[in-house]
Amino acid sequence: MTTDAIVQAQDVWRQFGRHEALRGLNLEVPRGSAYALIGANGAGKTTTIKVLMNLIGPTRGTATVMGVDSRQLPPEILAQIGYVSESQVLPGRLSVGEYIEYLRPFYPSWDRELEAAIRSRMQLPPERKISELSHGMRLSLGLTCALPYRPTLLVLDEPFSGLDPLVREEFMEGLLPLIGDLTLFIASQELDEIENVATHVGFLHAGRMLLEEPLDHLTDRLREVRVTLEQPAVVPDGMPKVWVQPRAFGNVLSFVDTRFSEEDLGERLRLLLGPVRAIDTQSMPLNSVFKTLARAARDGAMP
Amino acid sequence: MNPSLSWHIFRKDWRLMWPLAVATALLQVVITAVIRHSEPFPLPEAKSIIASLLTLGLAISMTLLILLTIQQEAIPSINQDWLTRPVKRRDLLLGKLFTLALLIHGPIVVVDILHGLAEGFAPGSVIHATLVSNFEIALCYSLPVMAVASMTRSVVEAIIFGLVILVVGVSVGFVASSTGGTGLKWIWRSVAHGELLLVTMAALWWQYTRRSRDGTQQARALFAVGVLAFTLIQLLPWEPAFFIQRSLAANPQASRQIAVEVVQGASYPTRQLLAGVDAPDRGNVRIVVPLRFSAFSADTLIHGDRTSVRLVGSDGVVVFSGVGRVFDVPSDGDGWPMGPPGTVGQAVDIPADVYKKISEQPLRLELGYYATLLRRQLITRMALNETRRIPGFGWCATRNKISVIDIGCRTAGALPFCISVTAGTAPEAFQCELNYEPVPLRFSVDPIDHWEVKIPTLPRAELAPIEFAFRVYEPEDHFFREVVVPRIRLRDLSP
Repeated sequence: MTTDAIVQAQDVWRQFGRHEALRGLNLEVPRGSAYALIGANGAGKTTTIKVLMNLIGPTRGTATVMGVDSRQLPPEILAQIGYVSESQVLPGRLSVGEYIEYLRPFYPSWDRELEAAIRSRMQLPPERKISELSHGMRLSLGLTCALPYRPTLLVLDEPFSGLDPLVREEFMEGLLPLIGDLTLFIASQELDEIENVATHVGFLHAGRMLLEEPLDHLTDRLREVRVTLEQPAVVPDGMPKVWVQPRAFGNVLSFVDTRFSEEDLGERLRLLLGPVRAIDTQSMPLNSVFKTLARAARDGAMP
Repeated sequence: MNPSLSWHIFRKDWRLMWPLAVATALLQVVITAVIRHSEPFPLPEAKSIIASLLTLGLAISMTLLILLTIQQEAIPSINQDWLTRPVKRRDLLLGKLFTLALLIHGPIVVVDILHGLAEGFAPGSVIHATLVSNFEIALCYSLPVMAVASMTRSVVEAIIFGLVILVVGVSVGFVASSTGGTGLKWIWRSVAHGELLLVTMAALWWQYTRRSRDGTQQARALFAVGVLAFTLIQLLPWEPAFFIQRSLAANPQASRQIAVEVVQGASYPTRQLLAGVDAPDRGNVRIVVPLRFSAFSADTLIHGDRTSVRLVGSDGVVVFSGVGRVFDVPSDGDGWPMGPPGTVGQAVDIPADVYKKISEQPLRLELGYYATLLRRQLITRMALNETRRIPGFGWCATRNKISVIDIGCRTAGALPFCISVTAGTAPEAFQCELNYEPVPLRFSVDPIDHWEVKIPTLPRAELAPIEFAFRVYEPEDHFFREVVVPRIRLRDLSP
């Protein structure tokens, strides 16, 4: 554990009846990072966030946010956290304007000018009741209300489902930079949206953190490799475990190298596969990284 | 705590709940308009029915208002927006208490005060009675409903939880209270109310001072056990209640000289003036033990609150153990049929099958008398068809109807629990709801208390000069006496 982590989880377990949603989760979000928590549906992303936000308590283990046990988060800490969730229940009978007006006094650092800037970009009708807003507009409202007090930590749980692409882009690229020093912790399936801002990635599978590292490290070490052979390709026995998802088609063998290093690559391939006509390596977008990891985790072949 | 944030939360709740709050307040105004008395007699039946229906509507409306207000920020739910906002739970609790005070009790206080003033009562007594009444409503209704609301996520869940608790409480409540129907009933009731207040506040504190929602199950269990205990407290034994009552006596020496004896061979009438006349239960045989009480002064009355009865056979085996019927012994015999002063027949109902077995046997009779000495005081005399405001007492009137004479009184606060009227030569007419609670603590849930009695109309010749003497009875002392009769035969005591 590092001391500059803004969020940490140590061996966190959470059970719902007999179902174990989190099974010894370990997590560390460096201060100032943009941490993308990725994982398949049911991996435990929302449960992780609910534990961190003290919406539910861990069955075992400890989670800390800004150095404070998540079960004891005082209002002073919560005043520095922005939280938006896809399933957040807002007070439907308040109008947009009334709701924002209601929230203001709770945050000593609320910036009215920033609020005005955000509202003008999000284009929310102030008189409309929250219950009359679409799902996407409600998320927009949640996002709008999570920023004017310049949170130190912004926690987003699937914030983009139902949001139109313009608003997503506006939020990620137009509004987030206005906040200043910010740690972003985001769980989302919209990987293309977060790839541009994410600095760290945590891959959650079946309640466990299988991988957690800076995104540039990850994209450096995960490469899609296409090898064109002199003879028809077959997936050889004894392939290194770090080469996953091998596919043979014609003379081409492709796989994902999860410990990519250019050093001796040609030699290693020739020793294993025989004469090689060409080697092509490509870095992978986050979306492909996720799919590779998810398949490997599903097949029990996580390198 | 930050009262300004609590006020901010209240203003938000008002913005959301004002239609229901205004409807609830209007309902109170309408009910008050219906029940406002232009004379101190009971309302006509039609008005009473309308008032009852409106009151039911008011109870529903108030319950909804409390539930919806509290559940704006439901504590047990995990999806609520406010949970991740920097809202201090104590500020939230204070905000909700503001709502309770201003939207529920505020209108009640205003309407009740205006009602009391409109009926002509003194402002001081009206305000005092209204505040005491509201305290009771908060204790027994608003705060418990608020606690239930804080432990549930929706109105439906709250109603189900509330009904379960109510059904359990009422079921247990069917078990007879040891002090029920006696002047001592206020003792265990007060203890139970104190316990309910503690449990309600503990449940609210538990819910509003912990950020984790995982404690709601414990809070529900605590509250359910507390409500059960509230009911069970009524079953606490008689003896400690009587001990407490004796220690609070207004004049602890007043009964010191009073003696009681069984007058074998005599026959005295049973007499139940304060608690109403009762007949023996089916399947029981009534025996009447002739008693004589001595050494109690004029203008007093002895009320037998409870009599323990044991019948012991010649072999020392207890063949019957139970309680006798309540009775009253006035200090003089004036106006009462038969019997020399200080005498009364103590009724004891014995199961018929037991009686059949032992009625001819020689038995030892052991009686334990828990009794109260009440002092009678003349309040005023009024003529027929007169209405008068009696200082320190109330607004009273008499009127002649076709077959009865109606006599009624109203006051802001609580009237004496036992009032009698004597009209001409007719027997003293009592209307009592026994309650020995010390006067400063005595109150009525309804801020305006009322009392009425009907007596048969008198011959025309007697009506014109008739005077109605209003008297009240207040407890002066409480005492216990034991009487043992070494040898009796039940058949001799059967009327």
